[in-house]
Amino acid sequence: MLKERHKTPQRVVEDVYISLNPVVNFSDRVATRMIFGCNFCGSCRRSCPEGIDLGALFQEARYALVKQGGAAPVFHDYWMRDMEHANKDAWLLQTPHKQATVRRVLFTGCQLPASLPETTAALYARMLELDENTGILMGCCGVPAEWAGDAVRRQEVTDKLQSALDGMGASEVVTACPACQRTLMKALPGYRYRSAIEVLAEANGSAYAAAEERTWGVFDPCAAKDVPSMQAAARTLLMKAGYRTVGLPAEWTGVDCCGFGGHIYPANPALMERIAYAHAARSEQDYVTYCSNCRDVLSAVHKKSRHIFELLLHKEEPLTLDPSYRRRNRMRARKLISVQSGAVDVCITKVEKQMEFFYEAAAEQALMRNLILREDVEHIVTEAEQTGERLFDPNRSVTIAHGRMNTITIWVEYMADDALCRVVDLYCHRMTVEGERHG
Amino acid sequence: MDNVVLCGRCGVPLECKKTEFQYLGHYFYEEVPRCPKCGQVYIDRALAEGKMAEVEQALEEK
Repeated sequence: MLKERHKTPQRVVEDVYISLNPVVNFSDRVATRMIFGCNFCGSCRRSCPEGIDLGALFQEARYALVKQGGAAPVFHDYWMRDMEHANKDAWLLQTPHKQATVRRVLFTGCQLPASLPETTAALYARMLELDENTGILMGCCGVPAEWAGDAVRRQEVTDKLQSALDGMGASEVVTACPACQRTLMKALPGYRYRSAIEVLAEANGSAYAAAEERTWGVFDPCAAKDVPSMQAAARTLLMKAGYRTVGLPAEWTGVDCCGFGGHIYPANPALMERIAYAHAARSEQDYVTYCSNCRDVLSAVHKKSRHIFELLLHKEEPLTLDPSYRRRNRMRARKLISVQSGAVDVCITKVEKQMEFFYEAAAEQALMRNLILREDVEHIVTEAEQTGERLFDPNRSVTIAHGRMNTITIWVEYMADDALCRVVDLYCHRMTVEGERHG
Repeated sequence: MDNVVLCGRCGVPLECKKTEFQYLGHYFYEEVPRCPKCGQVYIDRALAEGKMAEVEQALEEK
């Protein structure tokens, strides 16, 4: 990002200062998109001969801007809602054999189950084989709130996690996600942390025999850049399984993040895409990584990428980018884990639908591009059909309905009868229309 | 008639009316189609993803 902006660290600091202290009608918050475009990958800090940590500056600036009301809520609203889903509807806290306490807990994070539900369940099963005194905590570590600059919700998540871990009596947390490990070590330093790949690497490797002869380019997630033991464990595991690995070319001077970090997408989608494509072009080899976000972001730009757990646990799951399907995956992971543990899953509820929905390809693309939930679209259409508050375009024979969902107004073009709604396309905007119920 | 959108509730064609928009505490006006009876508004894709998106981006840095 900084390379594209051609700014020195001093100039960056000045711009951030001006953005936090704008003078009305004189200066703007010039650094807003830079502050919300940081991936927090640590590459600036690692490469600076003076040890200047611009990531830390941007993080503090996010907290300050949000406190001042100077940041657009739309930058992080989707991720905060996603965090809430992970820590409420999909939250899972379980011990084996109805034990009251466990020695260690597998912390899955929120995006691994959303991307790879079967793999997540298989990982917990493997952890139980290695140590039956292992509980599971499926939830979010709170980094979305940190990246959103929301200190209050950040603390709420930390308190919730601490209460859950203490309630299980766990002293050791095994993390399935490098970013969760980095976050938890900082927020809750009172536990012993180990990454799941390190735990697996110490165990007997013969269980992971390679399904095919293959050479992989190892893509190290940014949260593992300062953790050589995690990087080594990934390579050990792949080698033990019988895979060949190659490192990515060392001449890389861009950010160390795949583009996902910092949740920069709503603030700067083009930057995230450029970063992802640049990483995809670094090697001809297909990639293996140990972060589900890296796997998804790189796969989305057509770079064949697998999560190391998929390879080791012999799962191959499809790429799921649709926000609603990611939530369904999380619920599926929750159910799989509950069923394999013989526990009753109390969270599965049957939703009575009035109307069936079918999404045309353009509409599906728009859902993913704009981070829109199908549930929100369906709510808008259902309400429009019930109230009659909708428009009709006779030239295209489409009905048009709209609704405000937190920070965006969604417009849905559809064709519907009593039983089926065909969503033709949709789009959105961030501003509101005054004097109009739906904005 | 080309480009006529009808209000689904009132059954009448929309008419361009000066309308107030708000984003991040900033207010501004634009003529957009509205129902002359109930006031229901229509923002088409070109406006939402064009001019509105440009203004939103600019205001996010104000």
